[in-house]
Amino acid sequence: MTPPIRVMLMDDHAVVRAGLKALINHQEDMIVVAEAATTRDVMKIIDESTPNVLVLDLSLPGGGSLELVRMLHQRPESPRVLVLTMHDAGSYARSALAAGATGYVVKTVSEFDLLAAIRAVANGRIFIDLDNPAATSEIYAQATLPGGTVQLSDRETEVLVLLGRGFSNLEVAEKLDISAKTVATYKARISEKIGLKSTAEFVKYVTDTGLLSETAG
Amino acid sequence: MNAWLQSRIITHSPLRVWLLVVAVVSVTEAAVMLALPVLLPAESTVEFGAIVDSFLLTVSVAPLLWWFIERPLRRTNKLRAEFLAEYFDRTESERRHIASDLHDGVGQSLTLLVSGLASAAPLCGDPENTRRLERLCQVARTTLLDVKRLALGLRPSLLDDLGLGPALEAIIVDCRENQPIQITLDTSHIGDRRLADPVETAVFRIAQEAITNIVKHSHATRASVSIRFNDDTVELDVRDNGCGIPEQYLEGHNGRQLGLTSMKERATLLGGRLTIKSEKGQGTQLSVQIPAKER
Repeated sequence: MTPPIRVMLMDDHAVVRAGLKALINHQEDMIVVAEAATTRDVMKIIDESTPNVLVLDLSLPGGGSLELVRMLHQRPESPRVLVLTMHDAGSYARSALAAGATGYVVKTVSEFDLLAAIRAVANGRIFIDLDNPAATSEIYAQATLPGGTVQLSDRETEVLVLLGRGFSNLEVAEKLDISAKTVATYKARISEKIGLKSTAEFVKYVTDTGLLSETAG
Repeated sequence: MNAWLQSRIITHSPLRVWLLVVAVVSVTEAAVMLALPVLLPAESTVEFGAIVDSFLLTVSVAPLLWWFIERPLRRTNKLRAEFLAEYFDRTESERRHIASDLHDGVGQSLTLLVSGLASAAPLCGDPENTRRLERLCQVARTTLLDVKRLALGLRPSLLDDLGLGPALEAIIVDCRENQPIQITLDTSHIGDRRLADPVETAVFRIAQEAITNIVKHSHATRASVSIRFNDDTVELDVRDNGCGIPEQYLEGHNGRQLGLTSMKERATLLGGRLTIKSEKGQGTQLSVQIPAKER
């Protein structure tokens, strides 16, 4: 038998944690190994309890949920992050996925869907449920684009594609009706997000991921 | 006399300042008229006399006017701006607080209630009781939606967490779902870039007020909202094809009812400006420019 999925819960509402814990521990294939109400000492707790999946609320007191996702994304051997939140706006989902979460589920989904989400995320798949089919499939389509999880905003993608086609900052600025300074800002941000530096690398990335053919027509 | 006392006098008893100015002008003018024959050469013309007269009057009265009117007025303006800024700031933080309590507190409990009732309904066996639980679950669901809309109207957490674009998107989506109007939003130009907190709040509130006006008063069938950020200025543009804003509102009378006064105040306070073009039956176009830097 495969070992159970080790789950850590982060939510400031004790009632929510208790409900989740009871639900999860009731399953044969998963177990709650740690709980936390804030981001304080969270790295220590994660290191000690080695969860596979972190079920994380976005509105923790004092904030810092997205920063935590980013931090975990950069650390090797981190648990995969499933965001479980009250926020059903697509932009929250986009930014959580961009930060490195691989699951995003709103708290109004059924227990069945939540458990499915934990299993999917534990197996390395992306799981999104905003309790609104249209919004969910939109986010899902973006999240499964070539290159993995959502990393770039629409505007950043536009800039990347143009740069990838070999246009200069100034030419991109003219095409998109923005200033060259703004293009430079986008370029810096894109480089930071996908780790590319030279124009040659931009061209290669755009060609490899199929972004070029997608936007050409 | 200190500056505080000066601004107090001009705001609390403008009449006293007016009397003072009138008295100073007449006394000075009388003194100048008495002194003129002594000062002027005997054969000088009337025109020359008038020039010397006005020069002496101006020189002696100007500093007084500056001291009693210009300085305290400037001080009063400054105090007013500081007060307004603090007022807006406090209101926003109160709203932020209440919205988050509603959304994450009450909303959370309602969510638990919804999922509890939903999972209990199929388990109770008796069809009558199942239906009753399902009805209760529906009530809880509707209440949850109401609470979320309340929080969104007060101050969407999106504004603090992700910025202007996503926050405007949320209120536009809400408007589309609940109002019989075709409304478009273009935020592609600002994307997910973040501006200083007071600027984001001001632009958001102005847009929110403008959309409320469109929905409540304009009878418009179509509207568009767009926001652009060009390195040092953020521009908001809101248009509709409705009945237009009556002139007396635009001229400042009753402007408060449409929130026009507070919209203008918000823009001016941050060194920006707000213009409204509106003609009867020709729709309304509101545009705002506010100096802004990216965070």
